[in-house]
Amino acid sequence: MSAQNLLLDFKVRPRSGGLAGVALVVLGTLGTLLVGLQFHSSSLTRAGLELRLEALDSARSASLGSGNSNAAEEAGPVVNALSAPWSLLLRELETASHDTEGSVAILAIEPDRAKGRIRIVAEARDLTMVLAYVQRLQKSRALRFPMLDSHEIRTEDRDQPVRFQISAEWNTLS
Amino acid sequence: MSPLWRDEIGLYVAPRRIALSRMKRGLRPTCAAEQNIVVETRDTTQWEGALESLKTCLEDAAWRDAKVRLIISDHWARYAIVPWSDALSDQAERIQHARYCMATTYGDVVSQWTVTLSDGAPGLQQVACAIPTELLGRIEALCEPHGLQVQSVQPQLIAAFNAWRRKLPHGGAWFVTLDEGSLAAAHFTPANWDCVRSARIGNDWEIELKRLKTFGRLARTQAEDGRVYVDAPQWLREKALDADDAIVWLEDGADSKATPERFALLQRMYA
Repeated sequence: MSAQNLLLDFKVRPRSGGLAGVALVVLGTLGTLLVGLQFHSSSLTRAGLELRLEALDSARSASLGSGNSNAAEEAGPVVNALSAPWSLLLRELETASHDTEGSVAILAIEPDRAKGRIRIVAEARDLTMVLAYVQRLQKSRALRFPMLDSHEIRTEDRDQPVRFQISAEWNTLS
Repeated sequence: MSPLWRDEIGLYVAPRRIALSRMKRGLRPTCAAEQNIVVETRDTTQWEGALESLKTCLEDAAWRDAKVRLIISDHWARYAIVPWSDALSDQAERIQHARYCMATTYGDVVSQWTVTLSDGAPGLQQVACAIPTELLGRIEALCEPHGLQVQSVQPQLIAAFNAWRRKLPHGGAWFVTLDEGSLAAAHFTPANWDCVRSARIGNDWEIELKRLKTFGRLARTQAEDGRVYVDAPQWLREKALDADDAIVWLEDGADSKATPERFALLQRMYA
């Protein structure tokens, strides 16, 4: 092993690395450029992948959204029908029929959910009972503004009952 | 020419000798010109004669537009070992401390010298060297008009040690450089230098050689590995033909005999 160099100089020499230093600087610069290029390339790839991912996400959410709306459209009437307060209405009609001592027989109930109205077709022994029934329904929570639309006496029937038709707004909020 | 590839001139200045060697830079520096001038003077303390010769020499176009590595003979260099001090905070304070240490040895004349310190690890003692400020200024003033830029100034002992260091052991030995009328010696360890001496010697080389051999034997007895490695002109080596185990004469090989005085040192700096 040789002796160590003694660094003593009256001029403060810039510490040059010589050819090895120059080569190192060149290699370092090239390395930095390569890393920069690699980074740029990776950034572009990443940006492209992100765009593709966004496109896939939006396509998937669009397909999910349209599917939902179709299903909602199809299920809408069913849901509306199921969500209608039938129990309350039937209970009110039953109570009203009981209050009129069973002299009113309901023949048909036709709801119109789009208009929020309901039409009731029934028969009673006489017109007085019809009016009493209408008055009773006017107290109902399930119906608003029940009106007697029409009535007729069924002469062909032996008891000659009165067939009548009532329409009212169906109070679905109660 | 690019400053990176500018030619370099190795310039050795001694009281009785000027040596110049121009190296063409490149992947393998090659010697483009050499000149060796003998200065006729008796007073080796004065530099006027050497500077006159240098001025004449620099008129030659071969010695223009280059960087210069200047080596000053040990005739004009003084050395000291400066202990490390944690109380000193920067290089300026360390130089002042070195100047103080040298003044205790050499006296007030130190105020006329430029002092510098070796680089080294903190905590280790450093080598201080002083060269007359006027001499440095005069040489730079001679160089400037010829497009010569002095980029390095080293005393002979340091330049010779660094040039020969590949042939020196890792530590625990003496290195001696000899020239006409001067001797400088340093004891080096694996970590640093721990002793440095410089002396003027007489013209009777027989006596000086005997002194050197005695010194080598003394150094050998003080330490197992205290061999003395000597850098000397070829003509002086030839006088010391008798073998002496304590002294190792540093040589490059058979070719070194053909190399004129101190050119070998200048060229070895680029090896």
